[in-house]
Amino acid sequence: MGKYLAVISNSIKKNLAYRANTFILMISVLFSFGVLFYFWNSIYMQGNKVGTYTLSEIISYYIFITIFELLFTSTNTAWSIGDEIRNGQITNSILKPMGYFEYKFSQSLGVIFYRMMLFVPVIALVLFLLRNYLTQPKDDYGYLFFIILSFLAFILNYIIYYIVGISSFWVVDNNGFFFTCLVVISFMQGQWMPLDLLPTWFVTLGNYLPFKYLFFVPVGVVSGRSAFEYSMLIIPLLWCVSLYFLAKFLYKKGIKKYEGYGV
Amino acid sequence: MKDMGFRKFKKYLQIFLQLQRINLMKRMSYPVSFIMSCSTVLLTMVLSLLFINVSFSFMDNLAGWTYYQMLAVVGSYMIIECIMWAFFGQLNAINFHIMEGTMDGILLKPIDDQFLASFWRGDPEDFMRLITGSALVVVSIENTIGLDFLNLSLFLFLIFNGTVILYSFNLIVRSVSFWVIDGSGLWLLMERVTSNSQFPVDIYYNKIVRGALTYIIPLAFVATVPAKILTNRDIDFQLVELSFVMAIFFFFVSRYFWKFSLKHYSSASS
Repeated sequence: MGKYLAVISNSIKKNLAYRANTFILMISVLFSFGVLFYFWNSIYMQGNKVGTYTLSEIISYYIFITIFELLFTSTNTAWSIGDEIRNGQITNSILKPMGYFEYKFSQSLGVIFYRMMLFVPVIALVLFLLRNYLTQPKDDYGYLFFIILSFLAFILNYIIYYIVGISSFWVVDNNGFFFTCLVVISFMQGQWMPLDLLPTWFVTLGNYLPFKYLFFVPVGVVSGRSAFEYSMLIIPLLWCVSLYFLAKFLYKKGIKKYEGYGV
Repeated sequence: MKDMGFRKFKKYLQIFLQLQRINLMKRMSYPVSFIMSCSTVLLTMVLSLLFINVSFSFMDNLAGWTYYQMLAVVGSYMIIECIMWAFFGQLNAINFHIMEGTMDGILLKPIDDQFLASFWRGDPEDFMRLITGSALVVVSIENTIGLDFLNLSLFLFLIFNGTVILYSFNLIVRSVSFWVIDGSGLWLLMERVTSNSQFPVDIYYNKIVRGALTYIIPLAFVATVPAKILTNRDIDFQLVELSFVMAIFFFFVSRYFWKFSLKHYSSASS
């Protein structure tokens, strides 16, 4: 366990190395929240309405989506694994006395802790300033359910991008595939727009895939758009388990194919 | 003197074309990946359009902009984004080069540093944006005032100005990396600023905010003004002149700021 804590700690320190960038990031985040609020406020002030969403609901939706995007997105996992495989650096990682999946997960956790240290004060400030615009969860324990679903979403997010990353064992230049995954996942997790505004066939398709549990479902619970159901917990959990085994299987196959190119 | 100027222009044009060729060759060395990237850029455009279509299925107009006028705004934005990514993709990598110390390689070449720092790398797959953007502009023209030579010429001129403005603004923001070394956080700022250009600035009801988006962060001239001129019979020539003045002003400010920032560069390598 100690070795994984060391990886987490290193990951945090690495990110904190450039303090000016940390400050820029905070300003950028504040700016992006401001733009978001102002944009939707302007649209609704002109008498427009998007679907059944009220102004408070749409602002809450996008604010929480942005929070998720800032805290839990693991796209870096895919890029770093891809780079390590391409330039042979993965050899260093696999020689370490720890599982590669667990090693990258610890790094990813470090990034999350760093982001929390960085963004939580800004997020708290934004939530406080916009308190009159934000909607509340439907359930009494809505915030607790939200935290559990968010944790599950983070793990699922990590496993998905881990699988995307290790696909580099088979394709030398994986940038095109990464880019495709990034766009498809970001759309299907509800980052672009609320999924319930899309055509029925799209919603049905989304029900058979894990992506809506990454952003859309937890955000729906915390913003009071949907009430908590146990299926929201069980289905992503099943996805996590099955994708975990798929990830392990693919890694095993991939590492046999790996030729240490670039070492 | 005149001849020397022409020779210099010819030399830079040749270098520019060579860089484009190299970029394309680099990408084409992995054809499957390149085709996937092209398809995904196209998919991104389709999804953007879906967002507009879904939004307009619930409203008639957005701050006075009809659906077809809105297509002109989105189309203009796509065309300018295409130029930004396909030709000036290097701007996004400035902070990476500063961090890794590879900026030296760019600065030591016997050629204008800003030119090379801007054109060194491009993403040819983003030419797909030009196709979708142009298609949207055509649909918009057909469903608004129809084809008018003057409007179209002014539109192209304004697109050029918009590109210069966005390029200059981008260069100013990226130049901050010379001080902070890791300026990756600037990416988020730029992404939020530029993605906002795909909506008309008229949606901002507050006059101060609208003024700021016109004169301080001149997003209005990126897509809103070209689309306004393209889809309205009454041409506001003042806007056209202002766009030109802003483009020149921002270009020289960015040039000055780039040179100023370079003085604060301390190499991470050697």
